[in-house]
Amino acid sequence: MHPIVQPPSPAPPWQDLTLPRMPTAGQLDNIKAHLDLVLLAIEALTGLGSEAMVAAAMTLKLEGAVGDRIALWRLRQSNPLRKSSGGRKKLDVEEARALVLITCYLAQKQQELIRRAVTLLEDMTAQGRPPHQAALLGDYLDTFSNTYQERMDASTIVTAEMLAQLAFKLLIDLLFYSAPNGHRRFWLALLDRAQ
Amino acid sequence: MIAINTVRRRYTPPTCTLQVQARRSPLSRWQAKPVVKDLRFELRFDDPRQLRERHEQVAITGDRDQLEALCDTVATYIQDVVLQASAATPLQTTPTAPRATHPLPPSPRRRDLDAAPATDPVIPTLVSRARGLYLESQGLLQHQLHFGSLAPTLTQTSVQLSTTQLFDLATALDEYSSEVEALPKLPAAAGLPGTGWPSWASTAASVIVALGLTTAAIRLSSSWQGQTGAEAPTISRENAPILEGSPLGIEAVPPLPEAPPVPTALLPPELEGLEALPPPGAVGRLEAPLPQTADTRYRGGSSTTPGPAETSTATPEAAPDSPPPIAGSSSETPPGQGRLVLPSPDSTPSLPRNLPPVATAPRPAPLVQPEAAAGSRSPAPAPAPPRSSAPAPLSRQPSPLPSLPQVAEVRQYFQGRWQPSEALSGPIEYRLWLNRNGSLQRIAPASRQAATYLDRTRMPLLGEPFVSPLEGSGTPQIRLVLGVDGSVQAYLEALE
Repeated sequence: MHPIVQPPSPAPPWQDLTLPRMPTAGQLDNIKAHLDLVLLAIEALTGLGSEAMVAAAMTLKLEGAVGDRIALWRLRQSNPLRKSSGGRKKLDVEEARALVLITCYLAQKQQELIRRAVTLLEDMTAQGRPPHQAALLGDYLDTFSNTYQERMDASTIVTAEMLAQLAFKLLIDLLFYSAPNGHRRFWLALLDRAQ
Repeated sequence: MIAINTVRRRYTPPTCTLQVQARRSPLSRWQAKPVVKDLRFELRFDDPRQLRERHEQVAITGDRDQLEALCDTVATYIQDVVLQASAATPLQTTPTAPRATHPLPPSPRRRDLDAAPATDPVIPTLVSRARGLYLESQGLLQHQLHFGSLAPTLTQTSVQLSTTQLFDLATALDEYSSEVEALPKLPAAAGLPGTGWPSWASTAASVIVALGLTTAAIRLSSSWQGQTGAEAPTISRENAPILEGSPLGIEAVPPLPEAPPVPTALLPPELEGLEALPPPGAVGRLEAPLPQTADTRYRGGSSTTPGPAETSTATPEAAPDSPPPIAGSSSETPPGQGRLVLPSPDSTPSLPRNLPPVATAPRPAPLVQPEAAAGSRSPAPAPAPPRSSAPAPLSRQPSPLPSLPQVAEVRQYFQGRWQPSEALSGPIEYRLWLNRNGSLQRIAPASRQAATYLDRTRMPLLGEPFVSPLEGSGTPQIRLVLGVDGSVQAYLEALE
């Protein structure tokens, strides 16, 4: 398999990530939730953690928005779905963009793994076999589900099946976000979902 | 024999191959990307898995308009259907036999076994609709591409694509879009090609050319440092003849999957140069989107939050043509936009006639503002950096440090809140920088343990005042020590 891995440029293309108007509070909530979930998916699949995210921020010269683990943690805590721990509730647009760029940078670096996972998912599904029987997918699902339940507010009931569906949907999204213009796709997807 | 004015490209992701051939237009002289006409393309779906099963290869050919329609259709489908699908969408609906194409999309119909209704086929543009070209979702993992007028035979009217195949197709199409500027078949194609170029670009044409060629040269030289081969297994070029003997060969080369080898070297001048990007006309477009750490400075210095400046910016479909992807592949494209403008002054002294000389005017503000900006995040787009601390901080106060009431306030704040945990093996320390309004500008844990325990310290949020506002000038740097026994100490380390 020949993944098309393209290292990102050091200056993130902000001009791609435009905002027709400021999101409302409710829209921003959706954006925060979605961002957090996509990051969760990457973590669950690749094992990358906050250190990798902060390192990505450094590489992309995004220290202004996500300077260190603390800042990153706080940004992600702004997801309203998280168990409340007194974390900040705000996420401004620049931070959202930074997280988008970081996510896509990491997805690019892990494109081969993501692609392998999606291909496995396709194969298992085509054969009518449960996806989790493939080790890579089974591990991904387990990690995703556990981490989700650990972090997210339990007031919304989620079944194992819902989590599996969500995990696979995010996996597919990650594949598209790992492309060179993935950040643009992600940004638009965030804004569209927020509507 | 390949004519010197023929442009050929071949894009080879794993499961399809896109070949494009066109004649180079004389306008290429003025553009960073080759400008071509009489374009023909061939797209082969050659997933080894499918070839084994079906013993047939699906291939379609067409002209520029059809290729552009295909690009639009695929991009829109991915954006509007795949990425917007709910998690409840089934991975795969009942497989259906290939059906004859309809010139107009069929109405949505229910599949047999699934609760989720079939999604509408996506017809992004009138052109695509008329040609019957569209994509239809069959779940998250399967998609049917209906060829419409592109159908190679009467029986081969569509092809089923898995998600990875769709991804590969999109990748090939995006590569093409970012690389080649194809002229439409219009009689008066004078000046710059229509698609994707912002309206102001024509007035900066000469600057764009110079910058584009320079950037291409930079990328070319970096590519020759041996990055290309390992990193571009899927993209091959058949353009050796074009390389030789033609200055335009330079932009034919830029290997997409490589990044500039010295990002750090390029950026510092970029950050400084940003401050003074000139002509109001151009700046009006460029301001808000310019880079990351500079963003807050920019907003402060000039007009706006990102929103208003972007109203003229492209829709998703236009975007493939102008802004570069994150990999910076088509670096030649946006040379007129701020991001790529800036590295150039380093290498071509002639360029800065439009740009401020980077070496001069080292402004104190940029040195300080990134720090200031890091802290004041929570007022969402901060309109004007009111940081009165910015001008002052460069003058270090030699000695002695004044006593600030805020130091005692910091200690008092934590005294009542800090509750060490048993697992703590020693005191944890932080450096805190304060904003003028008595909020935290920045936190730096002094050790890994400090970083780990940060969330248990009840540290106030950045930007939210927790001590009294500062008087006087300077940014206090306070060292906070939280002991294992619950003790709290705070010292003023510096005032900058």
